[in-house]
Amino acid sequence: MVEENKELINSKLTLEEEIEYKSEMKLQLISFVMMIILTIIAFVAVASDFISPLFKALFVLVMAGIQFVFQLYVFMHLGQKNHEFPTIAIWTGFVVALLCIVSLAALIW
Amino acid sequence: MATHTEQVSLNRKQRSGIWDWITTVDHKKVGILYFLAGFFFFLLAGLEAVIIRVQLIYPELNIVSAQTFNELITMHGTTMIFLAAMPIFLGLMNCIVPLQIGARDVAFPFMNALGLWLFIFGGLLLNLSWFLGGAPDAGWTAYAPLSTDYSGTSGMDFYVLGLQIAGFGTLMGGINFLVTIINMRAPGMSFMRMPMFSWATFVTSALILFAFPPLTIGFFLLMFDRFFGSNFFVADAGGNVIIWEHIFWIFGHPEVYILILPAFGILSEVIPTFSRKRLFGYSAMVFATALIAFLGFMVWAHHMFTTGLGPVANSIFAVATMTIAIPTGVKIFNWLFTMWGGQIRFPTANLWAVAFIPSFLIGGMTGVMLSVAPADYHYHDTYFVVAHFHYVIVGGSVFGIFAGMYFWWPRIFGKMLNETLGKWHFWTFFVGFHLTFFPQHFLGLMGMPRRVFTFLEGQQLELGNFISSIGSFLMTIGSIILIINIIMTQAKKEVAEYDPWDGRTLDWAIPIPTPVYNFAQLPLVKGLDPLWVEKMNGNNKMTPAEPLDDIHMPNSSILPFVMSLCFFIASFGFIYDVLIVAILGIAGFFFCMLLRSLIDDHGYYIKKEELAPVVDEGGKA
Amino acid sequence: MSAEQTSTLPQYPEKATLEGRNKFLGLWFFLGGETALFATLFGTYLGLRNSTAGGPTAQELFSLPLVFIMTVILLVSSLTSVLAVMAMRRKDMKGIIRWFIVTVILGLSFLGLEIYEFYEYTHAGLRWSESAFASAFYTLLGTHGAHVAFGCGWITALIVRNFRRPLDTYNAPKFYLASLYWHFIDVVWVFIFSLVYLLGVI
Repeated sequence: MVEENKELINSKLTLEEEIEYKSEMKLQLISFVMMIILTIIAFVAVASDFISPLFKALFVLVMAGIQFVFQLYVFMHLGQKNHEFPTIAIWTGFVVALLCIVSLAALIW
Repeated sequence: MATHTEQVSLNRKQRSGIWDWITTVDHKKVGILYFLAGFFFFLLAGLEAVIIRVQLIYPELNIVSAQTFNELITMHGTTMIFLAAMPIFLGLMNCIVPLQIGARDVAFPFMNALGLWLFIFGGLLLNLSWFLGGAPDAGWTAYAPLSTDYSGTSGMDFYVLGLQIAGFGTLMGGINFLVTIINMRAPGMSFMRMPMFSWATFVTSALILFAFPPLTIGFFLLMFDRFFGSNFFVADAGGNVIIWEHIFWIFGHPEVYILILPAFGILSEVIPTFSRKRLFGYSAMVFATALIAFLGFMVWAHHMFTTGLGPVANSIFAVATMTIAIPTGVKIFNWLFTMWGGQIRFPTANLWAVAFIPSFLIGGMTGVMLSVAPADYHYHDTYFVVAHFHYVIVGGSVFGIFAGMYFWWPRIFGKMLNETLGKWHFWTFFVGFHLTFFPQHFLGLMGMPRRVFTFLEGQQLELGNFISSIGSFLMTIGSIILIINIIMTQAKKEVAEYDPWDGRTLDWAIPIPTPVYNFAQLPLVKGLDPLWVEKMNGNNKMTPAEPLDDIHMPNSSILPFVMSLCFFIASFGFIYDVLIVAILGIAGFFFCMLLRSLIDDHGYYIKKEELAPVVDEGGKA
Repeated sequence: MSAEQTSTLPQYPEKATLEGRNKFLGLWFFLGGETALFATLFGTYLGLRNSTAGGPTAQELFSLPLVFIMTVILLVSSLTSVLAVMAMRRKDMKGIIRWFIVTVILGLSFLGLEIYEFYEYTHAGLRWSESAFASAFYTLLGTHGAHVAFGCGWITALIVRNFRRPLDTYNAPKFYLASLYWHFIDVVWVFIFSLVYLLGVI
């Protein structure tokens, strides 16, 4: 305990925490790069003239979906423990969101 | 908290009188304020209902004009739903749920108080419209373009802003209860040991959380159309009024479950207590509650069958609607089985609970009738619908509220309501209710449309309307008896005894009146109906789960009141087109938020020496 | 005192107290509600996107390069708020403040670009009351912009308040919550650039 405290006063992490920190940092940076790439792909796909509009639309939606998951599960740590209720909250919100979007966009005339 | 102990004041600041009430963050006081404000609006909306029935007692009367009649029906519905039923339930939840789950406080006491004051100022704003150029007149559903282009008064401005503000408050209340129930249950209080009223609160709060944001947006769109010249519902500029219908009912249908689930919860507390039996099929009840909430989100379009969704959408929504009868039926049967073989007593609380079952059942059955889309073309916008939803909301929600009121009055106000007057209240109101609304089924089937300010002679509508109006007078008498009962009860000095109903849940394991910290020591929960478990083991009180220690309490604050006042003032800026007032009001709100963020508030501690000694109150086991 | 506080600080200071856990859960539920709120706006926009009433259409107006720059700015700001939370893992208050300052600056530049964009569109004939499409577009984008502005104000208040204070269990949840909120704004923007801009020009 005494040794640990001494280390903490120097605001250093224990070895385990250090490893966890490093891998966490790596994960965050990788997913950031991935998100930038996904964004670029989506913009390029829309700008290109060789793809059919329907495929473009679907492709853009899939890209958005992947980014959504990245943000939630990596940046916002939704996958970590003690996130059961946040998970329920967000995905219930997502289902309600789908209902709203589909009905407001498609069930009108 | 250890790091901040030195900054925390150990002395409780003593405040008194009205200042104490407007700055309170104590969930019990917030609950009482919710309850009283809700009850005031209940009486107000009841008065509006009586005027409606007086106007309709004979054909071709002209006691109120058609315009006033439109304002009356709009305000009656809006006030009853947003400002009476929901706040009264929120009041009961505030007073009871933290006690039932064994918590000393709610998760966000400050936000809880903010929600209360937003509701009160929103309600005031809406009702001030009566004196400021006429009340809203487009029906409680505010369908565009009736609510945008064809509204006769500035009342819809008050409707949009008043309900917007009250809605923010309700949303905050919902989040507060969700977090309280998840994070602050007493040791041993697992989810499947939680009393049904707390479960109902949990599920209702989830419904509030997901149903109110669409309404917020709906109100914003309507507000922008009315104030700032946007075109959401202006057909000439490409707007689409069906969007309003969708948004309103995406909110509106979960809303009716927000109104009925807490009543289900109250019944599931009252009936077992007065049957001296544990609730039959507890886990089925929990599952049914969650299932009703889930299905409640899938059926909003059954309010729009005649809008012209087409046969496919109509069929899907019809079938989804019918399935709700299944979990609701589970509940009805479980209450009956709870009573079966129990030692049933019939104090007023249980009379209301038992009367709920057949009354609500009739409302539910007409609901299934209405869910049949082709038949709905016939019922739609007739008095049949009026009869249906009054059977659900009065025979369901209001009866539930009354049951909860008589049941928890000693817990909340420390005194017992008079039983004799209570029974008079019950019989007059119960008979009056059925007299009022049962004939309306037939009026509707005979073709009387809803929302008409009068009807013609010689169409065989006279008798039904006459009986209906007489019934409403009987309900008025019942309500007056209730008011007398409340005044008499509060005037007498006699305090209720500990555990007056031979209760089963934690809320009865606390001395009366409830101490500000609720539990001197958090109780250890050993099963469903924890107090009953202890009684069966021969204990008079709960087993403590912790040693006696200092108790951390939140500081009271005037900010919630001021913040709500800011919105109230800003609303007048919008309505009278004085933009500077609107901006100042909103800026004031954000300034208060900033103050709340910048000023550290660590609360205070009640020292363990100050806690009331835990005496053996001698509960009857 | 500050050293002592740091020494007793747990690895996850934002969730060390009941108050912190309450705030954490409360914010997540709020974000769940916000999902439904934004969905209603998205639905309204998608329902009205072709209702231009003779005014300018999405295809005529939207400029993808500007949107791409805005997207990257917001995405980077999301990363900087992640880095702030990572600094919290090291109990490094200076790092937290530093990265949140960068976040606010990026947020403000995003807002600047959005205002510029609105200005351009208005001058191209897409006034707010021009058509149902215009109203829906400005309301959706404006609501998101208002959230960005609120987030900037929120984080600024936190920075000012805690500039010279050590990290403790009282202010750690506040920073953590602000970063969650900021990510959520970015999530909403992902759907805005996908559903509004990219689908708009297809």
